Amino acid sequence: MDEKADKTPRDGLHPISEDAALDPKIQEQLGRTFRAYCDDLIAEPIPDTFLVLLAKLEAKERSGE
Amino acid sequence: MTGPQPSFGDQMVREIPYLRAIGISLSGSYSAADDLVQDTLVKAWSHSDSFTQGTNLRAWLVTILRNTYFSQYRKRSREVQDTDGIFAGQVSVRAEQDSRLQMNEVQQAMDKLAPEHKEILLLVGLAELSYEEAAEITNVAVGTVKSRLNRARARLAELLGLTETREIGADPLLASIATRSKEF
Repeated sequence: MDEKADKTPRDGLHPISEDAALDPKIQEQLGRTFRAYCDDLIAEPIPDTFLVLLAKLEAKERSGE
Repeated sequence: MTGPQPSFGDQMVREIPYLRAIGISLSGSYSAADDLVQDTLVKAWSHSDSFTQGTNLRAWLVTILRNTYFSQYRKRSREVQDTDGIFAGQVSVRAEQDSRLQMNEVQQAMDKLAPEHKEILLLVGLAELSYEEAAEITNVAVGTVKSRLNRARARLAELLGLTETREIGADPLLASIATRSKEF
């Protein structure tokens, strides 16, 4: 399979090859829906636990040097 | 170059939202995701010498998270766990988040996908890794990544009830409600 100089957004939801293309309207709706799902997950507030953990790991390394 | 380089820890902090998002989607549980991210950060820290500076840190971290998940978490991901008490006090919040997650129609559809389809959507769609990086992480050829993505997309569209062309307004919220009311 050859790859065209590809301007397709790499969001995992746009067809890469013509053969498996979804209907463009479905594609667009799917892309929007999936992007919103991902964005919501990525925007979730991060528990402080992780920052505390990394700070501890960094402090431990520094004191060990 | 000039200016202080961000520390390895600072660089990792920036990737936490992505790691946690993948963990939540993979496991379907906030508490399992938090355990998974914690283990990933500890492993990443202790193996930091195996990270090549200048390469994609997110891809490296996602590799660790993915391998940790498939070796440890998959079996018990649906259980609520707080064995070491680290998250005590946050449990009720987590339970609330989990029930919200379970009501999410996209999450439900993701959970019905074949594991390799769900995985490829998360690697390329959510983490925005390249096909080459996704191929390396999943240990398959780039062509396989592409065909999996196509199949994963088609199946997800089907599960979300997007298989027929419908006239739905451009508003994603309305579109989602319209889809849900027709299909679920």
